[in-house]
Amino acid sequence: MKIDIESRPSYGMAVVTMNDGDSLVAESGAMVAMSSELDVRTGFNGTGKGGFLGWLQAAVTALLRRVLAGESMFVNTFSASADGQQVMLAPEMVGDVEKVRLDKDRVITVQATSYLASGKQVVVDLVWGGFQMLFSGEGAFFLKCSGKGPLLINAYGAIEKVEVEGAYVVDTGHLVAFEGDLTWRLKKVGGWKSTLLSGEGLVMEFKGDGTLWLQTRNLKSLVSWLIPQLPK
Amino acid sequence: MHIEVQHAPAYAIAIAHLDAGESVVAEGGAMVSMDSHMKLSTSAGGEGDGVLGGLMKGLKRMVAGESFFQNRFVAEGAAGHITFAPTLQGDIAVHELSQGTLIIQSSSFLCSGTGIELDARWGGARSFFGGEGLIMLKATGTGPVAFNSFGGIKEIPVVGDFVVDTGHIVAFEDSLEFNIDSFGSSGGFNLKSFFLGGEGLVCHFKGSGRLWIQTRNTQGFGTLLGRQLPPRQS
Repeated sequence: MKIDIESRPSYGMAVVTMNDGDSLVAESGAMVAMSSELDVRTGFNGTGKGGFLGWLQAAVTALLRRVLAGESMFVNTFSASADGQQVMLAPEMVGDVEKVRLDKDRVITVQATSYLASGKQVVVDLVWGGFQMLFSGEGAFFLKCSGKGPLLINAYGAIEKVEVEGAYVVDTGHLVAFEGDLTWRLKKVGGWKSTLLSGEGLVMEFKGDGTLWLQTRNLKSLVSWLIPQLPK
Repeated sequence: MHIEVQHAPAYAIAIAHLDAGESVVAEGGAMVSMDSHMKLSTSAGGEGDGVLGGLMKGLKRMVAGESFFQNRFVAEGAAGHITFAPTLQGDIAVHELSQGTLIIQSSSFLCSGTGIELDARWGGARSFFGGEGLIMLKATGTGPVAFNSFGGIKEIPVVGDFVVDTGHIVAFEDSLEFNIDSFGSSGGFNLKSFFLGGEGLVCHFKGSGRLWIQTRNTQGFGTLLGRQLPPRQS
């Protein structure tokens, strides 16, 4: 599977060229264009063990993901039946797309709305960010991506890659993804006065060594700028 | 006349360079700046269409989601330039038409040279459900045609068979046959993919010809932003 990202960084789109037998799972609505021979299957954004109970488990997982993480309830699986078949994928939001490769030593946690697509062997689990994330102003859930294969993430604005060594602080609204070796906690920037008046709110402090991906714009800020501009 | 594109791909503008006496037709409201001797005439029809012919053309354009009147800028007496920008951010592509026909998704048309004839074309009733331009514009003749995208533009040389989400089509050559289809229907109609796949209707292209797609979808972006905004008060 070969993945090229075009129209960077403002309107990134992934052009995926597959080999016979390759399979890619993408968020519903992400398909821009594709070879007509590609096989498409729509299923719940969750997995079950087979049988009716398995189906129910998948349905409940998908529903939880929709409600809790704002993810799409359904995903599409694109499978190639010959070399060279293509699918092009883009998010709804403006901004860049980045590809990351996972293997058994590399687990990546993605902010839920930044997930675009992943290889068939990649396992995507919904993880609870902890009670503290309820106060972050962002979603309290993340997607933990493990296994082997490509992962596509998207951002509002450009994507900035940061190699963390020791500790690093990120605004919650700018986080896209981080490597599994990093741990984090939510904290105030400065004292309570700063927290309330600085306009920075709460931040995430990362510790350890690993890669972090940030987005150069913040959807919450855009929305809070836009609302006062709208006519009454 | 030649059309140059600058500030691509994020915030592209088109600069049309005209010889003395040449004119350019543009989408209403697209003009950004121009030499002061460029003269604007606003009419429903083209040169020599007459009142009734003009009226019909204007009405057809309106049905296509374009404006009733068309703006024509003439470089009177001397060469000059004029710049045009689309409403949304994104890229612009220029296609030199000499033979054949170019079909343009109606909101993607930006401007064209004098030798280009524009006509509204019915995209088929089903494309209505695709949420995008029920009607496409048909450009024929000789000269440059500029069209804009929301996001980047990708030119795809289609040979054989290709599927595009209806919200991502910008323009295509008439040599391509197309029909609107439900998503995931390669092995017959697939109810689940159609309703739950989040793609709705797609356009199935066949044959060989060039196709231009946009890397973002206005409807998808609008929905995403709309969910964050307070409800509209009437």
